[in-house]
Amino acid sequence: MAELKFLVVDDSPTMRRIVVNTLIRLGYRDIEDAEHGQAGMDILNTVPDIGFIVTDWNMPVMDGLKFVQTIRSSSDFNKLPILMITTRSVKDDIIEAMKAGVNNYIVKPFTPETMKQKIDMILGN
Amino acid sequence: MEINEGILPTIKQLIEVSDQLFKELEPVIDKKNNIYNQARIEDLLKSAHIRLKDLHAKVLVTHDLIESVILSIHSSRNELKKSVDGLIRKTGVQLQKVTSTTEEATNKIMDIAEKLDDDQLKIIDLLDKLKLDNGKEEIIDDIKGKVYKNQDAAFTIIDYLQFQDITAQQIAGAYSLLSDTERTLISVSNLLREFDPSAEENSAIASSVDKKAFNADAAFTDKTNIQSAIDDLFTSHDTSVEIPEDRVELKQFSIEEAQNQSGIKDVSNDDIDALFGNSAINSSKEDEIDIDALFAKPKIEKKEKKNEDFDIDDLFKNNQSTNK
Repeated sequence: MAELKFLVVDDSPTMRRIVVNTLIRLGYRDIEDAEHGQAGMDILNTVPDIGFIVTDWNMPVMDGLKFVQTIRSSSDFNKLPILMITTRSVKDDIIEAMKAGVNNYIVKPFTPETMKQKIDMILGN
Repeated sequence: MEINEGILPTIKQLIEVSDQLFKELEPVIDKKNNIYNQARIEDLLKSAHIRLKDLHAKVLVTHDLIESVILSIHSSRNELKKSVDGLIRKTGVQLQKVTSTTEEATNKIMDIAEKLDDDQLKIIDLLDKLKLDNGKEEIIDDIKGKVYKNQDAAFTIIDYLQFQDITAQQIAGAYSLLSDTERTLISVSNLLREFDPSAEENSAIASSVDKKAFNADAAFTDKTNIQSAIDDLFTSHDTSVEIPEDRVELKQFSIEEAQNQSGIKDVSNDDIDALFGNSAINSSKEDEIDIDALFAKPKIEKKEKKNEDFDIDDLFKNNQSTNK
């Protein structure tokens, strides 16, 4: 069975590295990354078989919310699982993300256990 | 005629005098009710002539007053802009330094932590080989246990380095406030519409900030309760679930405090360094960081300036030149 390919989108190089590192620890090795939503869309359109998206919210060019909305409105990618990892912890923001179509939501700073739990839940569903 | 009052009272006087003049002249001009004889008309005209001369003098004085005020504003504005530009530029540079310093340090720490992790795996391999060779299983298992703990510590270091992303967003928020403040000052200083806002010397120094690229309220705090509530929300899809507020304890900070600490009255580049040097972000040897406490309570304290510590009126007073 082909390994699950991840796309990690975050404008912070530090956070991209931490998320990638965490995914590797959890056993996922096939990982692409991008620094904002538009770059994420470019990767989705050029790199085949992306199977899971982990995205930040606050990013320049195209923020995470817009990225999620774009994915959910596309015919090619609208079924992709999306996990949002962000510093935003206000209820209105969380509901907005839920309505936009994220499958789950983690607030930073997060633990690897939390990430594993959310990925397992999403993949289980 | 002496003018001892300000512009507005003087202009009010002008209005009253011209009003009076109009009322006196009106019957003369109104031919229907022309009850005045020639002599009376001549007297009125002479009086009007004198009043007009007086009015002319008042208008000249008013003009000079307004001109001197505008010149004073020009001069104050230029001084203010120079000092605000300088402050904003320096503060922007300082903020950028903080972000790039933390990013650099974070990368270096991550390099070490990742190397530590690799080394632990190599040690485990070697120990397994050793076990096969000379049978000291208990000691070897003990060492392996310690190595696994080191590996966990390396992972924990990497996890805690998330602070860098959070502080970078906090700093972006501070810079955005600076940028907004500068724009407000520029628009306030141009209330008399004397300046071309598109000219380079009148434009903002601080570059405009993409406000969607950061969350100024980002906080390095324990998110267990918040995450738990979010999990409930996503599981139940019940939007009435309450999400706890993410509170950060703020230490009140004033420019006066910083100046007293640094012993310098005028804000210079060194003062700005001192402000950051006195912050809790740079920990001294006495502040050995308790890693668990980092998650339990914010170690990095945000310092918030009260509005009244930054008095825009004071800035105007200090830079106003004398009237000509």
